[in-house]
Amino acid sequence: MQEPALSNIRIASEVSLPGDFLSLARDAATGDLFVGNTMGKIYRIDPDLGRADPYPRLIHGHISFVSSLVVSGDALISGGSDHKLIWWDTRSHDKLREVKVHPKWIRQIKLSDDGTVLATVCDDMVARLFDSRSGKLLRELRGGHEILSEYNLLSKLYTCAFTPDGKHLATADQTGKIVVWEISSGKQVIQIQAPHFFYWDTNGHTYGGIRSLDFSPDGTLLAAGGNLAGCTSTISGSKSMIQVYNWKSGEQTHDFRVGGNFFYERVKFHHEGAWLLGAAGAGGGHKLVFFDLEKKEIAHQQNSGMLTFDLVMSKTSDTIYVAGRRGVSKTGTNGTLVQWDLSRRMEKF
Amino acid sequence: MAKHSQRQLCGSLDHLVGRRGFLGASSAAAAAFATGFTGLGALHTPVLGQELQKRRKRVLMIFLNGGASQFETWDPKPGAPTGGPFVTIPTSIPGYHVCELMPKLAKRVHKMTVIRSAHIRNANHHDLPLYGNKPKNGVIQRPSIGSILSRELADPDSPLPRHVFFSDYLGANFTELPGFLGPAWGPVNILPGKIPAKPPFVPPRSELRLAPEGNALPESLSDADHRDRGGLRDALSDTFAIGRQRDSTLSSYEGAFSRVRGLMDSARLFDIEKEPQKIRDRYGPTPFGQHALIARRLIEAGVPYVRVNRGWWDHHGQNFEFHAEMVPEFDHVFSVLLDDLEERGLLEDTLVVTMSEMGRTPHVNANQGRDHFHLLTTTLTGCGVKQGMIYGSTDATGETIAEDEVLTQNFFATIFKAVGIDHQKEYHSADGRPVPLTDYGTEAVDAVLA
Repeated sequence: MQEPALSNIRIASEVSLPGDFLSLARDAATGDLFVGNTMGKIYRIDPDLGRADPYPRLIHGHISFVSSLVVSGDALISGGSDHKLIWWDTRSHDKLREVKVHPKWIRQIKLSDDGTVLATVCDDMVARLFDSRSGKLLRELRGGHEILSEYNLLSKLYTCAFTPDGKHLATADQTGKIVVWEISSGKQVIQIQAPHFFYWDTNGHTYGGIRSLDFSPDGTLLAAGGNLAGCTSTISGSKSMIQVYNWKSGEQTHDFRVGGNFFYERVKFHHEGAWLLGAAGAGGGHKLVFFDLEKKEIAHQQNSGMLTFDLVMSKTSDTIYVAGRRGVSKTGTNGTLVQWDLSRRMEKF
Repeated sequence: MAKHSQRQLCGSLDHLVGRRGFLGASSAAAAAFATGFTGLGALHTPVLGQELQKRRKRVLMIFLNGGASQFETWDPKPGAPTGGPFVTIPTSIPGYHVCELMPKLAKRVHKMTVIRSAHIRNANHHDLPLYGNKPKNGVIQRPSIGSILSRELADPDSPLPRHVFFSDYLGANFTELPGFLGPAWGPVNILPGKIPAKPPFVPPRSELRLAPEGNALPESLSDADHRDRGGLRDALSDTFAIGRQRDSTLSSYEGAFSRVRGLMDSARLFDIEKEPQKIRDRYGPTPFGQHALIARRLIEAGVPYVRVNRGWWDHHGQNFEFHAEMVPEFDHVFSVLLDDLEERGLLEDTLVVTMSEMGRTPHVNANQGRDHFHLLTTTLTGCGVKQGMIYGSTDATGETIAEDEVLTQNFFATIFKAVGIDHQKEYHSADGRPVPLTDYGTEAVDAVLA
C-alpha cells in the first residue's frame, strides 16, 4: 500500500494538563494513553483526545519526574527520577508493586516486543532487566558504561532499546558510548563510540549525550538521537544530530544534522522502515523531523510547536502521539499531549 | 525556621595567643623566610605552626559564578510544580533536608551555617556580589571584599601573597579589584590559558592553571642578582621619597615590588606536586579540586584571603543535567576541604564562605533551564560562626523569602564580624571621603555568629 505523504500530517486532537509531560505509554488493548509529568503524577487519558471532555484519570505516582512509562498486559509500569519502579493496575490504578533497587534517577524503561522483559537504565550507569510480570530482577548489566566521563564528572545512562527479536538490548550514555548486550548471557556484544555527541564545552561542563535509541524493524540498524555537542548550557549554536549504525559491524550508515538548537529526545522507526522520525525536546527546535534513510535526506520537517519528551506510534505508524510541553509558563505546568494523524492521502486535483 | 547551634569555634581562651608567643613565632617565621623557607616550611615546625595558625584569621571563599541553583543544592522544593527531578535526603541536622546530589555535605551540615534567605537585589551577571552589591567604578572606586579582608587580616611583615584568586573558565571577568586601597591589595590572579580550536567541531576553550604565571626568574638572572636589584630599587625609592608627600598609590606600588620576592619564594605553595599523593587523591583530579587543595595550602601558610571560583552554573538550558554533574563535584570537594581544614586545626581561624553569583528561578524555561533569580543560599563555616545553624527560609515554591532576609550587605557585615573586623569601620578614599566597609546602618546577622 502506498504510504500517505508526510506533508499531510496534521493535528487530530490535543489535550493539556498541569505538569510538563515527560513520558507516554499506550495500552494496545484499550487504546488508553498514560502520561507522566514533572510533578510526579500519571494521567490515564481516553484515546479520543478530541472528545468533548477527555476527563483524565489521575494516578498519584512518584515524588518527582515520571521519566518513563510502559504498559505490560494489565499493568502500567513507571520509572521515576525518585528512583522508584512501580507497577500499577491499568484499570483500578492500584499500586501493585514497588521495586527499590535503583540508587539514582531511572532515566528510561523499555519493554521487549514480546512483553516479557523490562529493561531500565539509571544514573548509576547500570542497566537492569526485570521479569515484567513478577517484577523479579533478572540481571544487572554492569561495566559497559563508565561512571565518570573522561573529565572526571559523573556521566549519565540515558536510554535503551530492545532489538525486535528481544535477544539484545542497546544502552547509550552521555559520552556517546553505545553498548549492545546479549539478554540471555548478559555479555557485551559490541561497543560503539558514536562521535560528536559529547564534549567539554567552553564553560567547564560536559555536554550532550545520546538521549534516545531505536532499532529498525528488521533489527539491522540502530538509530541514536541527541545533539551535535555544540556550545553552552543554553544549547545555543548547536545542531541536532541522529546517527544510524549497522550495529553488528559498528559501521555508521547515516549522520543527519539539523540546525535549531535542540536535542532529539526521541527517535523512532516507521513500522516497516519507510522513515525514521526524530522528535525535538529541550531547546528551540519544536520539530518533528522525518528522514528518508534510502536517500539519506530529510523527508519532511513539521513544526510541532512544542517540546517533545516522549512519543508512541500506532502499529501502522499512521498515528503518532507526542507528549511534552507548550510554551513557558511561570509555574512550568503546561503538559501537552498531541495526536498527529498521517493517514490522509494526497488529494487528487 | 531551624536555628540550631552546637558549638562555638572562635572566642575561647584556647584560641588566644599571647603577645610573646606571637612575636616569637613571627620572628621565627621571618627568619625562616630569610633563609629561604616558605611559609609552608615554617608551618612544618609544630610549635611555630600552631602559633601562626592561632594568631591570624583567614577567609576562604568558594564563589559559584554563573549562579548555582539553590533548589538543586541547599533549598530543595520536592513536590512543588517545578521542584525538579531530584529527591531530598536527610542531613546531620534533624528536620533539614538537602538535594540528593549532596550526600557528603548532608553529613557535615552540623558543622556549618546555612543561610537560605540570601537576597541579591541585582541578579544579572556581574561581579557586584564581590563588592557588596555596590558599583565598583563609580565616583569612588570601591575595593572588593577580598581586598578589604586581605588588608584587614594580613600580617604586614609577611612576605606571603595577601590575596589570591583561582579563576575558573570565565577568567578575568570575575577577578577582584582593590579600588582606592591600591594595587598592593589586589589579587594574585591565576587565570586560565587558552586552548586553540580544533576544527570542525571543537571550539577554542580554556585550560585552568594551578599557579600564577611569571613567578620564576628568567634564566639570565640569578637569585642573588635579583635580590641585589631589589636592594638598589629600595635605595633609589627611599632617596626619591625624601621630602615628598607620600600617597597610598606610591606606597602601594612600593609594597607590591617588595612582595614580588614573597610571591617568588612562595612558589612552592602553588606546587601541588609537593602535596602527598594521598591528599591529592582525596581532593580529586578536577581543576576545582586541585584549586581547593592549593587554596588550603595557602591558607595553612597564612595567606589571609583566597577565593576559588567554580563555574559556570548559568544553566538557562539543561539545568538538571548540568547540576547532576556539577553539584556532586561541589559536594565532594567542599566536603574534603572542610575535613582537611578541620583535621589541621585550621577551621577554627578560617572562615569558609560559599556564595553564588545569583540564584536560579523556581520556574523551568523551555530549554529545561532555570533563569537568574534574586534569592539564593549561602553558607559560612568555621571561624566566628555557629555550627549547625540553618538560618532563614523561603516559601513552598521558593518564590519569596518566608523569614529572615539577608541582603548582601548584611552578609558581608556578618563575614567581617565573624573574623573580628568592625563592619562599620570607615576607610577614606583618595579625596578623603569616608567609605564604610558596609553601608551605614547595616547590621550583621548576629544570630549566626558564635
